[in-house]
Amino acid sequence: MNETQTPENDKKLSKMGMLSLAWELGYVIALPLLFFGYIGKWMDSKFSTKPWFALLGVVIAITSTTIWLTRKIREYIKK
Amino acid sequence: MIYALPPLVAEPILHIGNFTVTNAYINSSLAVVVFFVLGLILRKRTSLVPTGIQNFAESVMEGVLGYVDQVTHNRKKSLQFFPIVGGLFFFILFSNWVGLMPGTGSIGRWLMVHGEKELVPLFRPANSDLNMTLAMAVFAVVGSHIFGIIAIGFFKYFNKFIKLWDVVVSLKKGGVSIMVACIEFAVGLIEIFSEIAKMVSLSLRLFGNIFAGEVLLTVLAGLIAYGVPLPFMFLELIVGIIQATVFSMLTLVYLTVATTPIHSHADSH
Repeated sequence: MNETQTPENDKKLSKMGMLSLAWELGYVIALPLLFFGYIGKWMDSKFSTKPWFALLGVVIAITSTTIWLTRKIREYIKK
Repeated sequence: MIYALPPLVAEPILHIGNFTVTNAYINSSLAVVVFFVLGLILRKRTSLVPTGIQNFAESVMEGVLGYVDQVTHNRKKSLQFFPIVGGLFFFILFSNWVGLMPGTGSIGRWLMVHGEKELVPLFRPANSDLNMTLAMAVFAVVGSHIFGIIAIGFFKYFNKFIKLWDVVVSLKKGGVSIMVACIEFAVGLIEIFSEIAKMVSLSLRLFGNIFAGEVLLTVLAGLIAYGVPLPFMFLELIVGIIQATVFSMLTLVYLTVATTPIHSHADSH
C-alpha cells in the first residue's frame, strides 16, 4: 500500500475525528473558561480591580473557543 | 451483606515495602503476565505452517491490522502504530473480560476499612481504577505528539499550538494582522486545551463504563442472585469490546492525524 491520502479514504478518518470531537466538546468548552477565568480572578486579587480581569478572561475564553470550534467544524464539513 | 458496592477508589490489599498493591493492580498485572507468557509461547512455537494457537494469533493480528489500514491507508504507518494500538486494544479487552469472571469482587480478604472489618475483593477490573485509564490516555496522547514531532519536525509541530511564528509574521505586516495574530494565538492555546480534553474524555469514558458495569452487576446480584444478572453480564461483554475498540480507534486517529502534515492558517489569510 502506498502513501495515498485521497478524499475517499480521508472520510473514515474524519468521521472518527468528528466522533472524538463530539465526545470531548464539553471539556473543550469548559476547561478554557475555568483556566482563563481563574487567571483573571487571580490578577484581580493582585491588582484589586475586582471584576474586570475575570470578565476579560471569560471573554477571551469564549471568543477563542468559538473561533476554534467553527474552524474545526468547517474543516469537517468541507471533507 | 457480603457483596458491598465497589468504592470509587481501588482498595489496597497488601504492601510490599513502600509500594501499595491494590486489587485493580493485581488484575492489570494478571493481564500483563498472561500476555507475556502468550508472547513467549508464540515466539518459541513459530512455524511456517501455523497450527493451533499460532493460527489463532495470526488471524487476529491480520484482522486488527486490516482495521488499522482502513484508517491510516499506509502500510508503513500501520506497522508503526500497530504495536501501540493493538497492545492497548488487547490489554483493555482482556482486563474488561477478566473482570466478569466469577471470583472478581467476591473472593477477598477481611481487612479493617475505616474502622470496620470488611471484605476487600482480591480482584477488581483493572479499568475500574481511574489511575489505570488516565495513565493509558496520557500515554496515547503524549505518544501521538511524539510521533507527530518525529514526522513533521519540532518547530512546525510546535507552531500548531504556540503560534509565535504567526505573531512574528504579523509584526512585519503591521495593522490589523497583529490583532488577527493575537486571536490566532489564543485559538492555538485552545488547541492545547483540546489535547487535555482528549486525555480527560478518553480516561473518564473507559473508567465510567467499566466501573458502572461493576456497580450494576453487584446491585443486580444483590437483588436477585439467579438468572437475572445473566443478560446484564452479556451486556457487559459487549461494553467491554466496544470500549476497547473505541479507546484504541481514537488512539489510532490521534496518531494518524498528528503525523499528517499541517497547513497553516496564516497562509490562507
